[in-house]
Amino acid sequence: MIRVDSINIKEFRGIRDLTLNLKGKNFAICGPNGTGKSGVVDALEFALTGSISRLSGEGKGEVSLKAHGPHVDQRNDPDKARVKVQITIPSLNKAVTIERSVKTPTAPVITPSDPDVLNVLQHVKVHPEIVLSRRELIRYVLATPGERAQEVQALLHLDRVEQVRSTLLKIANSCDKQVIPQASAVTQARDNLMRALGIAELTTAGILEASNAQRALLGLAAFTELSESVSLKDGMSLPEVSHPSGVPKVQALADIRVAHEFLKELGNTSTQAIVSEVVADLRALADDSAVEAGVKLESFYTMGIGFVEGGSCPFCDDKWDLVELRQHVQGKIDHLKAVTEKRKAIEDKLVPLISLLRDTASSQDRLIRLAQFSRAPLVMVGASNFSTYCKEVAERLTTILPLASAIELLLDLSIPDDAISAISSFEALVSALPEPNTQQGAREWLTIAQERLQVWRESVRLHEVLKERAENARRTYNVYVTTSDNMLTGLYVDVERDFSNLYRFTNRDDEDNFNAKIVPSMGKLGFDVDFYGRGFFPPGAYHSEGHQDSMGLCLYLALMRHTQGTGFTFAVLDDVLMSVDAGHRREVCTLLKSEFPDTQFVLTTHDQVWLRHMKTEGFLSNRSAVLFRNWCVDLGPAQWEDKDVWVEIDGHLENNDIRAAAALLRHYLEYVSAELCHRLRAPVEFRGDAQYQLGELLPQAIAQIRTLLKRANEAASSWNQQEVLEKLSERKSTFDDLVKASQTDSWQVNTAVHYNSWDSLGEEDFAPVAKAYRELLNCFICLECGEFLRVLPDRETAESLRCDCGIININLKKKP
Amino acid sequence: MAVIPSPEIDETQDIPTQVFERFLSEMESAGASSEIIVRLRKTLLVDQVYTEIALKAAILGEEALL
Repeated sequence: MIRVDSINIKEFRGIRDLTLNLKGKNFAICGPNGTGKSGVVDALEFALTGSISRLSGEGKGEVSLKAHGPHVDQRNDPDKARVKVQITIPSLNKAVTIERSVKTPTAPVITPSDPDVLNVLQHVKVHPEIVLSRRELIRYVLATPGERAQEVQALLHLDRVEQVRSTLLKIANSCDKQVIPQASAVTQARDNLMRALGIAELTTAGILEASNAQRALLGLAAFTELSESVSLKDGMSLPEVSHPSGVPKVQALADIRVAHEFLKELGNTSTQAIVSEVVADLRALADDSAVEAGVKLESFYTMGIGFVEGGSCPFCDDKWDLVELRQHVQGKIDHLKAVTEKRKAIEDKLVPLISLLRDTASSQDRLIRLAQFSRAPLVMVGASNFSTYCKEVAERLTTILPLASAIELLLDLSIPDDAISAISSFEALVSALPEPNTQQGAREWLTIAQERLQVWRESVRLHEVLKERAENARRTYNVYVTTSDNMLTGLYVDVERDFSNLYRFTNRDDEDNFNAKIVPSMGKLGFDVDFYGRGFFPPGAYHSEGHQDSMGLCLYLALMRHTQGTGFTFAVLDDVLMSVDAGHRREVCTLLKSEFPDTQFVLTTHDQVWLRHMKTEGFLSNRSAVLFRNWCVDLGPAQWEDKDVWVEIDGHLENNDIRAAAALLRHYLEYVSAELCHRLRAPVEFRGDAQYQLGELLPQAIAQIRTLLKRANEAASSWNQQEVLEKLSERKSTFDDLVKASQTDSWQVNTAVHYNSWDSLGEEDFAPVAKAYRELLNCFICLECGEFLRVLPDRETAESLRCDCGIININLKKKP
Repeated sequence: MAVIPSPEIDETQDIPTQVFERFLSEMESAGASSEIIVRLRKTLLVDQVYTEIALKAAILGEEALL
């Protein structure tokens, strides 16, 4: 994707104006706590993505990018808070500038803004995981399986995969639901048709035989086949009768009989037994308050458990026991799930009753329709009301909530007298009708049979359509689930293998047989690691904090490799290896160098020893680091940069602030002396706590230079290099003069010139001291490249004393 | 020095895109019509809309309006 060449930060977070030249290489930002390292990390993230993860998301309260992104003194002028990065896009071979202000974080100025450039930057924007802090990293390792699944899902952008899965399931379920009532409608239509035809089994032959018999009575041709276009009334004489001219007696009596049968079934003991059983079940459930809250409450608890973190309630700040609270909420969720199961069992018991109510309503509707053909006025209000009642009860019983209402409905379930009397009145009317003549009867028979045939055909067609839709939706869902499960399982297997390999590499001294298990299941991601062959345990169970840090980094690296492949060209790791010991940090350097040679890492650390490790292991070049020495709100971070220090000391002297000038000189000399002893391989009395004082370091660095110059002199003599000998002599003479001027040699014997007494000097006394040390330190620096000299190689026999650019290169090896 | 075997990785697509591509390929193998595949591809990969309405229209076509 990208590599960062430089960054300029203005009035942003704790930084006033800072430029860092990363040159597309690995880079480190080192400094004590609170010196502005994370401000640089925030600036990089902001420039590349337009947001700062530390200022957004869960638990950030009222902190926001807009309000708190600018330097505190510019908080009312967010346009002044700006970050500009120069990047290279290796795949496009293009250099690009991105400038973003906090005022308009989503509208960066990108130059050039070619479509291919914008495409790459959009990719960067949706991968904010390029910036990672230790706190985030360790969450992958120590989170619960559910939380880890969310963290990893977010990292891999699997939320989109999950969103599609749940939507496809919803569609499949809703399509299934549409099929069931339509199947019931087909059955009703079939039964109605068979009654009209007077046959016991619905077959083409049966339909043809019954209808041809009626058609023969009218002298109509018999059908030999029953295609979709055939109407049983085809050929009937005009005027065609679309409806019977009166109530069709035979059909009406058959439908009345069916209506009676449904009413009988509704009132029989079997149906009453179902009602009683369901009412008892509902009453048992009604005692549980969780039922009414149901799904909503379950969703609430499930969502809420994700927010349970930290040691206290975010609302009232009361302390809570995290484990106990989670168990408590999980108990509620489990209970709600059990209640849901019971509710579903009751709903299943109600299915036949709901079907009977719908059939009953349908049978009433048929009678009401037939009654419309009566020549004498006939009021079917009772039947009509009962039909409406049956439909409403059926609909309301499809969900049993609220429970009290469902219980009341079931207890009130009865057949009203006016419905029975309406049917009886209609039955009496129909029975009193004269028997139709043969032709009239045939005409009525064919008309009703055709009408019901059409209804049946339409209901079958719709049923087929719905079935096909449901099958398509279910098949789509199944294919999706199988595909995504297989792919994600494969992905986790790959990540598991890669993670194990990376961790084994960094800990091969004692965990050469390390293995891990990453197991996805139902929204969780189990993560167990081998503990010295004694079994697999959660990472936090037995491994040390340092090992957990290593695991976090290795898991992150494995996931990033699988997320971005060769697109993983840039990552910012904010203090991620805090707990890892020196030996393993070296291995991490080697790992990053060898396994991720095309990735530019930007690391922050407060540990200068770790910074040196990164350099000595070749992970960083000598100039690919910045060392922050302090920070103040007015100026932001201050670097240990030579020219700045002397300018600052001069400033203090101009203000007659000798105390500040002396303190700064001493701190700078402490830093420089440690750096010089390291570079010159000076012998220093070892301290286990690594807490060295200036008096223990600078004299040793000076002594080492003298030793090295002596060895260089011997080497030049052995090679008979007269010119070199003269230069060495000159260098030594100058060096001795400057050491003498600084009076460092006298520290141990003359307390008056000891660095502890500097802050009690007057300006006229301290200014020469500062000048002397400035000139002394110049002897250790190449004036061309500005770097301190170093001994090479950094172990074994010293061969040369040189600078980075090679202008100074003093041979230390004698002629063999 | 220990050597870590390099994992095989699709370098051009993110994980969801890979899942969606494989899904469409499996749908094709399962005999889904080309119309469905085209509609699903547009919804999942081009429009990147994962709502019930959009996916229903993609799977069921005009019948979704029934």
